[in-house]
Amino acid sequence: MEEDILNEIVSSEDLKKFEKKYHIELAAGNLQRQTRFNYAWCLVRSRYSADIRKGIILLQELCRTEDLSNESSKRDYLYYLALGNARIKEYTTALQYTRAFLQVEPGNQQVATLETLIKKKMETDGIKGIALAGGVALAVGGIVTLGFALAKGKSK
Amino acid sequence: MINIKVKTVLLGNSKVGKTSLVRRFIENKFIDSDVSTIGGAFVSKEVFSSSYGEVSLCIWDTAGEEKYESVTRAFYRNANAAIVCYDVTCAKSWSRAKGWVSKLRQFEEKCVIYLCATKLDLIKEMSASKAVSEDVLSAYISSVNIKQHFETSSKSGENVDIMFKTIANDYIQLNKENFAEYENLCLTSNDSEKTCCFKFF
Ligand SMILES: Nc1nc2c(ncn2[C@@H]2O[C@H](COP(=O)(O)OP(=O)(O)OP(=O)(O)O)[C@@H](O)[C@H]2O)c(=O)[nH]1
Ligand SMILES: [Mg+2]
Repeated sequence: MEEDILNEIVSSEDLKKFEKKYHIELAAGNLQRQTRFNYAWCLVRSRYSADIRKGIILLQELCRTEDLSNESSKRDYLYYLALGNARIKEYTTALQYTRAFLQVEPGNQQVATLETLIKKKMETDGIKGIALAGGVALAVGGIVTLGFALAKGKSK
Repeated sequence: MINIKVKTVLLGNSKVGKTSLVRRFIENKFIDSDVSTIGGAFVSKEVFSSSYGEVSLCIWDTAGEEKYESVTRAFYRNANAAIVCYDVTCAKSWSRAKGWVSKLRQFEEKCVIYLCATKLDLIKEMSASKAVSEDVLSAYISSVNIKQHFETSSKSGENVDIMFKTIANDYIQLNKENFAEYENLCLTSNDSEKTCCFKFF
């Protein structure tokens, strides 16, 4: 099997390490955003869909609560939201994230590559005819404002 | 015949030109774009055919931004080769490169390390000056076991292809005995399809 970003699995060493840090900070009431992101980043690369779903929730939270001064971080959240959704076969949602990303940063090759991979996966899974036209903002609530935020973050 | 995959990771400060190197190698293109890599991007490319089989580089192009520092280990874990990059005109990127080298030495003893100075065209065409003197460079290289130092430009293409090919070739040279052994093993088994990702380390 071809190694790629949709199949790559987080090492249990990393998952444990960042999970522990997350719970320690959470218990102490000083959960850092970086810690949340690192943990989410591990979770969405897990082999278990329950982990991935947990990671997605963390990323959505990060997205919603990101500081205005730090909007470029949203690129990272969006990217891994797309990746996580693709890995649990939520292809429509995944593609909405890549579309939203590419609307703001059309030339981003990394995201374009992810999109191609997702489409290939859909084909092999026999999923066809997903209507995306005009519906970018529908399932992924708040994505449009997020897009504007991204644009602002970039021009800095 | 077997498929030989060489896991190669690119490390270095943000903006030193890691993604540009990969793009030059894969697509033979240079696009001046200011887009930072997110996490790590993966590509693979067949480099040449050896007497043991096709050799491909499986490349992880990592994000150089500081916020990824603590997770980058995930990308260089078990790497066969690492290209540690610095911008030939930028002293800060040189000290960060040394940081990556010592991390690799600490966690990935077997990883073969290459140093790569990027943006050489700035020296040649814009008459910028080098951030690291030859003396400092050669003293450093001999002190930490660097396999080779390359000076590259993704803009002009200079030395990019040759660097990646050297890495693949070095890997074959270093593991010859293992391949020979593996071929013998295969001869005595009945498998018709011999595809295998080598993990000696
Ligand atoms: N003149 C010149 N500029 C280059 C060269 N390689 C890269 N650049 C420029 O340097 C900037 C950063 O290049 P990238 O390849 O995106 O750098 P990176 O190391 O991947 O950065 P991160 O993904 O943030 O870690 C871009 O504006 C490139 O156009 C080169 O060989 N010569
Ligand atoms: Mg990059």
